[in-house]
Amino acid sequence: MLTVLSGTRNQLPPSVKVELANYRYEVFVESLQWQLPAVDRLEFDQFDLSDTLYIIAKDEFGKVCGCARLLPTTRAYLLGELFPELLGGMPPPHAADVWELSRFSTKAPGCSTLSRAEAKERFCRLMAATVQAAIERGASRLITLTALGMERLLRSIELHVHRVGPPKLIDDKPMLALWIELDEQTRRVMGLPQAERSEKRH
Amino acid sequence: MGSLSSACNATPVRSFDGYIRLTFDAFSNLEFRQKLAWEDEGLRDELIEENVPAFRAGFCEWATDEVSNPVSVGWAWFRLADNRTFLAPGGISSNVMFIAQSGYDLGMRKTNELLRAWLTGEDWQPSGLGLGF
Repeated sequence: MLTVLSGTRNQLPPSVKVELANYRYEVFVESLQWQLPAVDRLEFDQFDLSDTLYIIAKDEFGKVCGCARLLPTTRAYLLGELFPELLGGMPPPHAADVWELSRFSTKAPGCSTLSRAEAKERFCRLMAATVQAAIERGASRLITLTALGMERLLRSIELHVHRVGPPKLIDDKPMLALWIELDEQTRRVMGLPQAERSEKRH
Repeated sequence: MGSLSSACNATPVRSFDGYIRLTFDAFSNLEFRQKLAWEDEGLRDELIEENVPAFRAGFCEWATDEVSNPVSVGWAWFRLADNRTFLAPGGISSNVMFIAQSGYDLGMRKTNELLRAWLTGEDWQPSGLGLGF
């Protein structure tokens, strides 16, 4: 049984913040070996601010088993500040309806007993909650920095994604920037209600 | 013919939504270079779980050389034990949206179908497997 919660850093209980930072350390630093700042097996960076929005998945034992981070692009964000070379010459977007998705994972650190179908279901549950949270805050699109395997996965579940530019090597790993359109197609495959149309029919 | 010719020679321009919109004619006249090609054991294992008999598998990346608005296409491939290489299921990733001569979007599905059609006419088999630009 998966439960998903969301909230800003200010809203999360201290124990959840620590658990989240430890989960991120295990996934992104230990497992994926990304070069990230970490202290005492806790991973957080300069973009984890008091009003940063998190979506967190917990398993049936109450243990964090997935996470996502949403940052408005109207302020400094990861891709725009640290990896503008992935934008293919495009200036980093700064718009109220564009949010950045980062630190997304449903990877289970260590040995996992999840079947492929269960892992995919967990991925889709967290992605749907993330898309929903972004839409509720006025986002119409997400921009994200990701690995090519993730791009393939997002395409396989038929999210409306498209590249910003070509992949480049970051710490010797091919990474790229992607757009995720929060349009009818993405809402449909995520099982979310369609946007209400503002036009009046006459 | 004048408009077709100018469309074929047009420099790719990024649209408001990030897509580079161009006709298939214009796209097929672009000069691509292989930027990356590498093996990926995780992808091979994933394909085997999908009942694809992959002996080896990996990704391949081509792009144009423009500094601003380079066109990017990438795909997964797999190789059988007898060395024959195929495009892996999942389509071709890109930052392109094909448009009709009249300017209308052809849509994601048609764009992907046309990208596959274009690639089958190219010598796309990954060369020099290994990370690097």
